[in-house]
Amino acid sequence: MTRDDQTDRSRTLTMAHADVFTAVVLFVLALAMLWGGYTMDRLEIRRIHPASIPGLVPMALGVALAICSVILFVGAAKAGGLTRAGLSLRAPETRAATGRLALCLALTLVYPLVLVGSMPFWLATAIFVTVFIAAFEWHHRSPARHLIALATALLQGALVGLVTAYVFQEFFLVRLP
Amino acid sequence: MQGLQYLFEGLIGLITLTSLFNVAWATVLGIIVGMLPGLTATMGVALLTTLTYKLPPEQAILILLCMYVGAIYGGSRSAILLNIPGTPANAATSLDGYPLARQGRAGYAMAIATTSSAIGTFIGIVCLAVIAPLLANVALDFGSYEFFWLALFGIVISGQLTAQGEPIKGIIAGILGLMVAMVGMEGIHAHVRFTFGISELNGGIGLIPAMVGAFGFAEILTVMFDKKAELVSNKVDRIFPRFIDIWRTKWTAVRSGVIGTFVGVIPGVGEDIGAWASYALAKRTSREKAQFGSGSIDGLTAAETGNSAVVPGALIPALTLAVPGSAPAAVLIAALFIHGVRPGPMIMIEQPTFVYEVVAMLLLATIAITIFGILMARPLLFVLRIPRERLMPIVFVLCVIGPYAITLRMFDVVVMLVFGIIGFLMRRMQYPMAPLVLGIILGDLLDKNLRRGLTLSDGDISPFITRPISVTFAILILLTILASIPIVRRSITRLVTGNRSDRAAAEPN
Repeated sequence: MTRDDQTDRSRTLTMAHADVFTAVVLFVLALAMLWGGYTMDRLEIRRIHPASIPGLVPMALGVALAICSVILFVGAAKAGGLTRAGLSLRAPETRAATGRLALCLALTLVYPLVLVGSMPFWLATAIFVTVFIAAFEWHHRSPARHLIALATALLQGALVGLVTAYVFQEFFLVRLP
Repeated sequence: MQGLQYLFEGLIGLITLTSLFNVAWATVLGIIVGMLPGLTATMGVALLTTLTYKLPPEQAILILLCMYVGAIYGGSRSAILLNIPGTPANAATSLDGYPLARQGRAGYAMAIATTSSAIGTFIGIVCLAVIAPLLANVALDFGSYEFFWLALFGIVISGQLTAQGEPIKGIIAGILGLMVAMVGMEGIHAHVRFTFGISELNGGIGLIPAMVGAFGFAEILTVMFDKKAELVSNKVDRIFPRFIDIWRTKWTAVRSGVIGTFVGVIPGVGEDIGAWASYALAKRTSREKAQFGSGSIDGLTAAETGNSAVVPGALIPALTLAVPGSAPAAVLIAALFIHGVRPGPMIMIEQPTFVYEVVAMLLLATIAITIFGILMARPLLFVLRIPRERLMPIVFVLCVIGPYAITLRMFDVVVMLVFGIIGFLMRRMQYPMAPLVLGIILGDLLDKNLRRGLTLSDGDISPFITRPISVTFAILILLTILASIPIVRRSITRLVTGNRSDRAAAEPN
């Protein structure tokens, strides 16, 4: 077995592992939906037709999802999802991608949930855009060009912040947060 | 004849400076959105819906259609030059477009893509003008039973056809979409479901924030997660298409246009399947099969004609049944509601000219992609050099401000974020997004019509399986579901191959 074959096999197993995990989560969700639909108010006090109770479709969806999750589980288990294996997260490529994702996720969550609303919209946007560009470009540029990267990031951030705020406030008459 | 008159009036009504200006910028923006890996047609239409909701309905819809047509076409550029489809619809394009670019014929490939897209959209437009009024007429006979099955059929078939690996994942995505649609006040007794005391959820989960999240934010996360793409060529050769090439591939183009349109009509299936179906058939029928995958003109023509024809095709059920044929068409339905247009079987009665106005708008968009696609081939190359680190924060700012601008609620931004993260995880796990979106759109239709149908029949399910259209839908759904179960699929394959080998063994030498 070549190294490539081994990597392919571990990748397949990683998806199968993920499918086993997802199937369990989906099964729990299906049971919750079924229970939610079953215990939902049947509006007897309003004398509605028993076939039109609000919980009918949620119950049906719960059953359908439960069946699908079982099928998914069986398929994933057959594909080796219950064995111990998987693509190593320590592989340099995977680690770099995960790092980029974590940084992107952190910045994109902080901007709307923390920055927007706690300061003027244009400023929050300018800070977000500047930091985003600077953070991702830092490693690609040589140390001598860090200052240029930061300056252009700052310029783009300020421009995006001011233009977005102006266009939405003045043209679309949106009361910005 | 009346249809032609409406079409003519629609075209005349659109030949104004404002309309032509809107066609120009929206189409170019669409091409740019399509070109940039990570920005999809759905995302472009969703973001533009939030930016155009204050415009007059006619202009807003014109802009959204130009964005849609432009983005599906624009994706061919990055497929040819980067080997990365700008939108999922252009995945088949890269199979032959990229090898042509590597042979130094990038301009030629772009020219073929441009004419193919224009021909595909045009064939789809003709079908839209002919089929939509007929379908609307048939749909007038649909009752609750038929609408229930139609909604279920859409989700099941979309799940089956759009799943990348296992069909069951497509069906799961559809069920999850339906579950999302169960949140909020239901349409029969006004009972509030699954809101957990959060008053913002009483009206349900907004389609636009969900779509911006699933197709915008999720794409940003995907683009930043994946490796950077490299531009294959900075130089382009001849960019004007030659008549002889168009003539040589005429049958491939016509066949792919028709296939693409009919794939578009199937609920929630979308442009990528249109392209793949056309490509597969072109490969099977071509005399130069060996060239497919290494720079076949037939292959490139089939892929681009097929995906572009899906655009008008997807609008046929969207306008006449309010059931989208693709993910961008789903956003268009939401946009139509925002602008006071009610798609569905009554459209030919309530607004008989509207379908023809859409046809006229699509015609203008087709002309625009042809002109700008050829004239701006070289300047548009610069777009592909924009670093993702510079582009993605701007896109994210629009993802935040867009959903907020419609309702002025930060809650919709949170919905966008949640759907973005879910969308990213689903993509990594190979769950298709189209059935999820279709589930959100069709959830209400399915729920209301099932319960209304059961009330009308006093709890008797027989009308669901005895009326001709209903039983047809029911059988199709059953077969589709059975085909998605691995053990059944394997048994059928074994049965078919077994029969074949038996027959081969029985045949005399």
